[in-house]
Amino acid sequence: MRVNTKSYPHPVLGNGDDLGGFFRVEFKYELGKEEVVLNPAFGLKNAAIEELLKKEKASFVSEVECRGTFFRTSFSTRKQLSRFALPSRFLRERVTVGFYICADQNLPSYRPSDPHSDYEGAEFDIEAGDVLAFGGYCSFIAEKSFDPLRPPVSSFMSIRQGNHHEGPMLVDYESDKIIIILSKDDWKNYLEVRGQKLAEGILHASIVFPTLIDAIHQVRNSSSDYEGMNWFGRVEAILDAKGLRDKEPFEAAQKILENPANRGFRGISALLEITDNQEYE
Amino acid sequence: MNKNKFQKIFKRAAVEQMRADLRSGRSLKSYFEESYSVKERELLNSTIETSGKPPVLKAPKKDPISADLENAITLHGYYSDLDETQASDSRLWVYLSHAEFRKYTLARWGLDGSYSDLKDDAAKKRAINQLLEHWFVSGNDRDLRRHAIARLWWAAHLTYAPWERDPEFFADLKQNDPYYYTRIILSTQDIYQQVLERAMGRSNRILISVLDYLGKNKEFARSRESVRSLMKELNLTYGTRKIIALDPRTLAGVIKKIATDIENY
Repeated sequence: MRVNTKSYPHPVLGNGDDLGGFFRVEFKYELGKEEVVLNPAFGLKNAAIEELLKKEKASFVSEVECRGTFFRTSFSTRKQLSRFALPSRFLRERVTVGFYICADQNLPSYRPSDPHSDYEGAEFDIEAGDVLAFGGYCSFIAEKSFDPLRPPVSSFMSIRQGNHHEGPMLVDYESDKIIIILSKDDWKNYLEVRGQKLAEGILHASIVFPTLIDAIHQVRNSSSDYEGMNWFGRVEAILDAKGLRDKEPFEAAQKILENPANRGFRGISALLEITDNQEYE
Repeated sequence: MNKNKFQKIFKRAAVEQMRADLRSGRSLKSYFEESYSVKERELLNSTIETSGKPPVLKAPKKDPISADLENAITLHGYYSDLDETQASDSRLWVYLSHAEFRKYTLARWGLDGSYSDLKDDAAKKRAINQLLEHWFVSGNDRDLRRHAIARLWWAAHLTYAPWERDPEFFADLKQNDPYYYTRIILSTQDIYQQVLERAMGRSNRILISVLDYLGKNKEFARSRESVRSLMKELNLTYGTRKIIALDPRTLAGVIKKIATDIENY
């Protein structure tokens, strides 16, 4: 669960050290052909907010957003264990779910419990919809065939032929997938080795690895221009699923590609062995 | 309606190569030409059923924007069974802008002049960026909002008879014309951009509630600055207040209060 702090006009549980206690969310989801089921489990410790929920003056709000399909909706509940279903057709690629506790009605003179000393004794006029607690947000890829724990490189990256006859490869991040553009010369050579097991490690080490490092830098940039791209969501989901979000891009890329340098060397050794054997024959 | 054929779309590899060709400038000249040869091996039959001939979209030379509403309704009627997942598929929209509705796309979102007018690399780069923006889609709603054809379909889809989609919430907003809110969102280019540009425009409840206010307050809606300020203020409010979770009356009240404050400022 990711949490970022922001400035609210009143203290919010889960926003830095505004209030004592906690608001934690365990989130699971199921991708079905017809519907996507969301299962948040809310854990709360803060007397004033617990009281508001009990008196039906506040609710747990799950906000679901999908940039790929112009979709945003919210589900409100007061149950700690919830289940929401959405038609699958509304969701494509990256889906973000944020968790809040919001006021259901205006709450004049709201006095939060266990506040930071800056707010000691203060009262606030809360309006319906105001956020009282933030439980963080997470994202997932709404595609059954995509497994972020075992992602094929082709699920977020493609290699294409460029217009230049020779020279360095180029990268296009403004597409569904990251597109590596090879010169015509390199493309010709690439076609000869594409799909061969021995060449895969070498290609990963020399072409995919540096590009993926750069892509991870983009994902870690909080205001990246590429945030809405499909590849961005997929790389993010892979980083989350493999627990690599806080690792340096250099290390994370190696883990995702399962040690490309080593596989590259093994590929080269095997090719040299074949060449040697051919010379002796 | 009898559905009898499946919409053709490009294969993903074809779209990727087309983008690479345009970015490199190799295919730039072809974007001045009306004819476009589609290779069968680059196409797929999608699961989208259509019937009859595809409509002809209009782009009057004097004022091409004036036909947006009519085109949006026509297109939405023809692709009435498209669901949200299909309608965010770049392969469909790239095919429609390059092949099926090429004439319209050239007239409405084509480049001015001729290829020889692009004298230097900077001019070519600007032209390429313009084409990438309106002829291609990269998988997010910003691109769908800007794509020559997708923008029309989505404008109609997001606003078509909201009382059918969310009957409980929109019960009081029922109109005789299912495209009532489409007419408002496409009444000016600025309303379309402003209400869909902001992330909260993805919420159908907020989108329709804003359009309802604009429909009832035409003078306010005519002011570009007012609409822009309303969306900006709503966006700021959204940061700390989940107005998406409000009931219709309270939500309408929030919009009205912000708009009134803007008018009185």
